[in-house]
Amino acid sequence: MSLLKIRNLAVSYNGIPALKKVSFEINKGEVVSVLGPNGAGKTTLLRAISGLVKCEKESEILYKGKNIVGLQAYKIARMGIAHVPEGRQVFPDLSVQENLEVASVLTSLNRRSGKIQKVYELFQELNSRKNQPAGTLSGGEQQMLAIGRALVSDSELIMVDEPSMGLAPVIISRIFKTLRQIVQEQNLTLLLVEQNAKLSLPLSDRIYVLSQGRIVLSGTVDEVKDSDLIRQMYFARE
Amino acid sequence: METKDILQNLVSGIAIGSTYGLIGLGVVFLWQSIERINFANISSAMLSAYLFYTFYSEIGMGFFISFVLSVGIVALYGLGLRYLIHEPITKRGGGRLEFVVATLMICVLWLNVIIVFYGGLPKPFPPVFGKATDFVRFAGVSLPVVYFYIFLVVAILMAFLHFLLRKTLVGKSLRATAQNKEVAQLMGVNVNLTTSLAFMLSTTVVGIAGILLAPIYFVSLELGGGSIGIKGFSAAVMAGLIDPYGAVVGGILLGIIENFSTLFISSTYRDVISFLILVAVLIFKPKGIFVWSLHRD
Ligand SMILES: Nc1ncnc2c1ncn2[C@@H]1O[C@H](COP(=O)(O)OP(=O)(O)OP(=O)(O)O)[C@@H](O)[C@H]1O
Ligand SMILES: [Mg+2]
Repeated sequence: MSLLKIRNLAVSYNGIPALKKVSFEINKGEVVSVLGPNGAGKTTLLRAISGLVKCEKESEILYKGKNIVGLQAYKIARMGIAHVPEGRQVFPDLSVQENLEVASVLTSLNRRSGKIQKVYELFQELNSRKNQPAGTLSGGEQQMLAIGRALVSDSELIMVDEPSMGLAPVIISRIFKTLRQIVQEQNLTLLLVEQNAKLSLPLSDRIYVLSQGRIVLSGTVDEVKDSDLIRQMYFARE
Repeated sequence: METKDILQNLVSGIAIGSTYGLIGLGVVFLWQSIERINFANISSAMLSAYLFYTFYSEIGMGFFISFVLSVGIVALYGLGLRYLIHEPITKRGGGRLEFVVATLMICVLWLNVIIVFYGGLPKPFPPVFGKATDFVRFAGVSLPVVYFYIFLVVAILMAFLHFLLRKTLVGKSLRATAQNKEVAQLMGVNVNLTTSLAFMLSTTVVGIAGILLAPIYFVSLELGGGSIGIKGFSAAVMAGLIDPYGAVVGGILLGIIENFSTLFISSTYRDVISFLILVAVLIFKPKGIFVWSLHRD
């Protein structure tokens, strides 16, 4: 059974459609990438899953077989869906440690500190900045913290929105290396949103390409990697 | 002008100012949580003072139980504000303006309720914080005992709030929600709970300020009216509406400035000062005057 199954997902902002009857699914343990240009609706897709935007009537989002459309966002998070939002959005006045603690609300008490410790091992940079306000971290460190928050939450499905945004290439490759490591070690399911196909393809089992609110291409990486669309995306960003 | 006068005004400024700080804290807690200004913020001070008067002086309960009951009822009143005023307005698509108008009306309503039940004349506040004639003398200065009770209560309250906000997961979640409500929800923070907590904290701190101010202002309509309310707003605005520590420091600053302006200029202008400060900060430093809260955007 698929972990997440979406049928006819439609979202509009003030009557202007951003997602038009999108359907797709993710199986447990898979890494699925959503690619697409600016304004394609990628962020809207993740926000709809998390319950941060309203979906239209016919939309269905089944998580472990249960329809989560219309649930409050915090309840969806508590079902085991973590969302690393676009632009990182750490809590600026909370320290690194406090950011992680708040994110660990869902983890059972006795496992919290272990989970947080794990994040510090994964991202040494954060370890030496535990008590620093998160707003004073560099962009790369903030992205590490944002991913770290998702890891301490004990979620099964992790959704990451453009982790490469605005970061230097070294940092980006560092972050993607860690993402790969996490997925391999922890048996997580990852839904990765990226504009940059070069970054996300090597990590992914399957991909979906979103354009103007519709899925225009989907398949396993092998199936789609030679398509014109993907080639364009590869080279448009050089 | 003698050092004695200066010391006297300084201490009383700090004491009275710290209660303005508590009133400002009421504004800050609500703004952080729902980005609304409760124009009936100050009503909580009057309500708790009258409740305390009723329990202690009229019914004859003990100090501690009267205090806890009054403050507890005012905390529940905070929940009432949320579910009877804020939620219905929001559900019908109302925004800030609607909330302002509604709470302004609540403020007027409470004044009239008090007039109906207690009459318009001030009631004497029982001498639970020492009699008006009790003074503490040191270094040639004599200070009313009540100031020291105010220091004590405010210090205990601040220590408690500091512990709550900085050391407990609930408090950290409250701060996280204040900084980014959406993302707090993504972390699984129950924003229903943190919002209710913010409403309750907001009315509670103002309620405590009301009981502390009652020995000075009597149990009177003044505790639910504009001039003390504006002092609370001024303290909150100095803190950019978001910084709880700034609100208390702002209130203390205001109390000191007020006292010295009385000393050097005239007591006629006492209330004008806080109003001028409010306007000046809004114009020149709308994000607050304290550097420690300025790295936020
Ligand atoms: N809050 C909003 N109000 C109105 N329109 C919005 C809002 N958020 C997004 N949109 C519109 O919805 C469409 C999809 O936006 P979305 O942010 O989902 O795209 P995206 O694929 O994430 O783009 P990017 O790669 O730039 O992040 C865009 O046309 C955008 O203008
Ligand atoms: Mg986006």
